Amino acid sequence: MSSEQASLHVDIEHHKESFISKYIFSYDHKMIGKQYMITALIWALIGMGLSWVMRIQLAYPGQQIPIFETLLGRYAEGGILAPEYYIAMMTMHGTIMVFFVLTAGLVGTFGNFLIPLQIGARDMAFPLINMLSYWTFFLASVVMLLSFFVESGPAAAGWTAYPPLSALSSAIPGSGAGQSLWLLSIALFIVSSLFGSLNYIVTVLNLRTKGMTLGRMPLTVWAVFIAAILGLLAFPVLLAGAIMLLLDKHLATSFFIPAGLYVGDALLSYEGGSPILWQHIFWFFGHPEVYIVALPALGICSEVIATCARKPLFGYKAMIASLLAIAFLSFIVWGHHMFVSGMNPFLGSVFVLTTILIAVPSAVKVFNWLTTLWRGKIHYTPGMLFAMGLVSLFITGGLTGIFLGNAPIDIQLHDTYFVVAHFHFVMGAAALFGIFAGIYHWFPKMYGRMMSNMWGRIHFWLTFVGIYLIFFPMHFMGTTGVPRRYYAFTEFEYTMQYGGMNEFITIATLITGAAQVIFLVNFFGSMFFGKKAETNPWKAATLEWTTDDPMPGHGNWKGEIPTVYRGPHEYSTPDGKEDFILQTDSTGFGKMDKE
Amino acid sequence: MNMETIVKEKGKRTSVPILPPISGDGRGKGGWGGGMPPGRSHYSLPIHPAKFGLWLFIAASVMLFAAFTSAYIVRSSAGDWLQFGMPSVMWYGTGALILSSVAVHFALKSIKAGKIDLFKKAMLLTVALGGVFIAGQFLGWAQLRASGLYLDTNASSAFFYMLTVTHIVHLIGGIIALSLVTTKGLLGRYNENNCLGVELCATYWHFLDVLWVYLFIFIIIT
Repeated sequence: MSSEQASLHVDIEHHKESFISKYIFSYDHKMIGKQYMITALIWALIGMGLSWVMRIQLAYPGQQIPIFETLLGRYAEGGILAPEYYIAMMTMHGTIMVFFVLTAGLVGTFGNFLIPLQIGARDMAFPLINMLSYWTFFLASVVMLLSFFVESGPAAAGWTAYPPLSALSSAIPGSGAGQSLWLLSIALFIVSSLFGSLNYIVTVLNLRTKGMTLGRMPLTVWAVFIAAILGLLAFPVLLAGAIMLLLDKHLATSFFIPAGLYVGDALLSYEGGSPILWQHIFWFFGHPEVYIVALPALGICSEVIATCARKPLFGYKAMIASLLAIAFLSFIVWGHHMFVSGMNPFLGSVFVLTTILIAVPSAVKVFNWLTTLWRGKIHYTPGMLFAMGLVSLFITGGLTGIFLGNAPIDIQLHDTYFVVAHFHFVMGAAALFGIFAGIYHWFPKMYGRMMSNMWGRIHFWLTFVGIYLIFFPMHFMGTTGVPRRYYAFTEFEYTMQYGGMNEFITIATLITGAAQVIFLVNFFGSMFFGKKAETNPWKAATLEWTTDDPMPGHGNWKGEIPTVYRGPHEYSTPDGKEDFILQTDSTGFGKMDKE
Repeated sequence: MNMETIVKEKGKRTSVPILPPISGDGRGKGGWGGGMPPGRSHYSLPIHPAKFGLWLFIAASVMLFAAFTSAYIVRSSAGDWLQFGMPSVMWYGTGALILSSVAVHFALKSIKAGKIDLFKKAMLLTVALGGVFIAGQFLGWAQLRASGLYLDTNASSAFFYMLTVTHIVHLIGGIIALSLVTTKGLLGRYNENNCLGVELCATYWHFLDVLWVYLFIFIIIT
């Protein structure tokens, strides 16, 4: 597989493709991106459904909810969710959202869709591997979905799969077949991610069009490129952990299971393994994973803000440098997830230092977004609203990160709702807003039609206000010590006082979740009935808006690939005819330069 | 990367870049932020994309084994660690693997010099030596089992089996690739201008060799 094959595909658009080669086993990066997007949206609905189940349980513990029995069957006999399945719903919510929604919905979707279009390439460097990447991901999805239907239920050890709970098949129902399928699915996901990363890195370094220097690449491409490097180096470490955990589960090794462990009355025969070792392996992967998700969202945010504020992105170089700094630091901060694991306090203080250092590049990004918005001619498109919403969520979640990064405070707040609030703001909601911003902004290029702006704005306000109503109160619960992952808060007086707040959060969750129907109707409706899009509806300067058709075919440009003469954000330039100059505009360059 | 490298590479290359040929006088004053004249047509690395992809795959594999061996160090220092010697037959296997690496290097040299016959013989030798290594690993595991060391006997044996099996899974992938390339070579599909498959195979095989030597020394000294 090599670039000659990519060039062969250039001709494909001229002859008719079958349904299967066009929509299913497609080699076209745009179709593969859309496949990732649709799959991620389906997973998002499932993940959201699970959060509804958890929230209803937390607000109305012990009450019979007939619909639970209808939907969940034996997980909720008599309409009351069983505790061991509450924890399974929570595990699957986290796993689905982190891997199948955010990673696939950002890196898979926008990496595939945008990289070749924005750097001026016909397709990815290895289209076949790209197709395999999606279908391996699909297989991982199927395996994860199957785990809901095994007798003992899906995995229940949290998305972090800490042993011994995840390693001992007899620990709780979910530790059996569900956990094995979970590990298998994650292993497949890792392979898929490896295929994707290979492609992104080679494509960005090898297939840029004439004039597209690294210093002229849009920030979306930079962000996905760096995220791909993180994925390439971090996911194999998780694979190593998953292999060892599978061996512990099925072949009686004791990598992670300590000696002298009892299940029921029986002493287990394991010897001397270390559960903390899993935590090191998991978080060495887990923290870069946070940025595999976050960086593409931040890249999308930068592009959309520059375009819709009609200003050059403030500090383009600083934005790239901060992406690189965040990526580098992400490999040396994993210990901040383990401050309460009995870690040497000196080592802990080193992790505090590296963690707090991340605040510097993060603040660079925030100030650059704010200074880009400052005195811009802001066009409040739905994509722009979600990008600005992302900035807000990133600040809110980032500030609580400074609290949690400090070991002395973290020891108090660890495993409380404060942590839940923190990562739902900075990773969950902010990255989700990146997906929404990206979909609203590039939908015209994906489907050649416009989404409704009015419904997009309504969707934004309901979601934005909803996110704050859901997660902000959790800070208060967390600071008073309400622990996360609990089935109900009916046993202790200090947690019972939050009954009303839990009910409030649940109602906010239900309303915000229901508001996503607006998005789905807008998305699928516009796909077929939306207003036909122009080639460049947002008057953006980057290459994807220069294609011949509003919805480019395989090969992207019908004629030659355009040459690039300038950076990606030339908005409101005084000497331009309009308030933007396309990257392909050669005005001001001599004849020699053009050739 | 500069003009010369591209021209030099061109002889070796079998692929044609998708984009129009190179023109322009270089990168200008650097393009941060825009406004500079365009540089080269297309910023291909001075290495074939497939080779670069392979190196990225190797980087990912290195991370996998780095994770395994770090876990090994952490676990072995925690006590309850049974010491045992490397099965003697694995020393011979290791020798065979190192020789096969030399053979594949010789095969690549031969095909690049146009000596097709030598190339075919060296490839067959490589595959055979790879087979010897695999046989050596299986015999080594049999020796261990005969002395009562199974996967679940102790953490040290668990790590030993896990490292050697994960390595051999990678190696079986390599030997399938080698066999395909050797078959194509025997059918006369390669010559001095068209030997990308051989180059990829050789690189991956050297990696497997170096990886094994690393694991071998690592296990012996810990």
